[in-house]
Amino acid sequence: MSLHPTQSTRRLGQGAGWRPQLDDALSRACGLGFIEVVAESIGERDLPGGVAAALQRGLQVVPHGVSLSLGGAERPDRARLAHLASVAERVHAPLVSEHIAFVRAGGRESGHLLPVPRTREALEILCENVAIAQDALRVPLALEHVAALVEWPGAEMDEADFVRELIERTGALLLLDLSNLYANAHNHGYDAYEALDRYPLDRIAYVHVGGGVFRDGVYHDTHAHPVVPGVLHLVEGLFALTDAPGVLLERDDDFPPEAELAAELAAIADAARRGAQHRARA
Amino acid sequence: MPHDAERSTVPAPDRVAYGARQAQLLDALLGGGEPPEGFAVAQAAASGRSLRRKRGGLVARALPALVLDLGDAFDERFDEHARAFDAPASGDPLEDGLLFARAVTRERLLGDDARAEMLLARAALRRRGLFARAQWLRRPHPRLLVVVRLPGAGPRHVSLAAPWGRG
Repeated sequence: MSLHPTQSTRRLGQGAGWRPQLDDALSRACGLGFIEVVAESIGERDLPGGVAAALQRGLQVVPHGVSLSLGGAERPDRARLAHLASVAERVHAPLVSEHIAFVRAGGRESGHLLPVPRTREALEILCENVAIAQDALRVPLALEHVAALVEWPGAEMDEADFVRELIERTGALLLLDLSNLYANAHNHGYDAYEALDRYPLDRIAYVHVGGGVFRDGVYHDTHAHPVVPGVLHLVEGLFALTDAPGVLLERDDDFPPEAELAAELAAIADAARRGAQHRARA
Repeated sequence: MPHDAERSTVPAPDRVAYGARQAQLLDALLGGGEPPEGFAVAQAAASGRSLRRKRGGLVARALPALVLDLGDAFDERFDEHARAFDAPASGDPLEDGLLFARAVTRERLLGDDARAEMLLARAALRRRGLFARAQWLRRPHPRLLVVVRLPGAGPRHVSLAAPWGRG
């Protein structure tokens, strides 16, 4: 068995998902330690100017893949892996991240991150696919659990246990998405805090926080709305349990004015600080 | 490794059957049909609607004049389209929107702004070769919209007022 790099040695700090529409605002944002770029949006040759400028300013850059379909029936595509590895190299990435999801099946592209069944069989396939991905990458891989309105029947374990076993078996890092946890807990009726405690918190590479909206009692993780208070409470709850290496705001649409974005980043940092204070007192 | 013994008791996964189940779910979500057995129908319907709405949102942002033209009918009309046709392989919302707009024009006339937007979208999507098209528009005043894209350059357009103008 080959040895995969499993440790991200660098602390990331506060981050934001880099999007061309946010470039100006992020270039002026205070206190950012890293940005995340969607790997598939980066071309074969040049980096977007804003990403190159962020590197020059000393920010760390984490490529975030959305198309490997690690939870799919097919083994990860060599060309997609090579692209992810190439982006990682070009931005001197401390790690890369991808999803515990499938995005294509039966020759059809979904264009979305869809959940996998939480079964032993799916876990086996994921472990094989993740190992293939790790072999193709020269930096650690962090895995993110997704928000899903639909659940597969016949689940053999809950999401926290499923993710924990996947992380333990593959040696991958965890990209903990607190908005996805909030969404799934709300929509499928379980306690987010109880579940939070059972994720492999010691394996966190960084944390995602994104906005969402309630429609007809269902919470939608849109990344196009402000971060709801319940998710900020989870940030506080997480930092009360552990000192996560980084926490990143994702905004993908309906881009807010610069001041609003700065206020969201500040609110996340405040929640993390409050959590850390609880931990220090405990 | 504590997990080796445990792992050996798990039969080798059947990737073909696993993929077939995923394809069934995907077909139901994208096409808006009945989900496979065992899935909660309401959950699958909400999930499918959410995926199609997200796709429609990207198209709406790429072609805002088309959305204004369709008004309140956009959401339902796009949902209908999305259930019947997958997004293009490029994933480009502009291309997706143009295919949708073409389907709409088979049923009704679009206003001038939406037609102009479609022409500009076609020019933007032309990656190689020369693109040159013109279209008569009536509002806010009669004019000829000429859109040109030269190889290696972005689209350019010029609006030529009709000589009988704004009378």
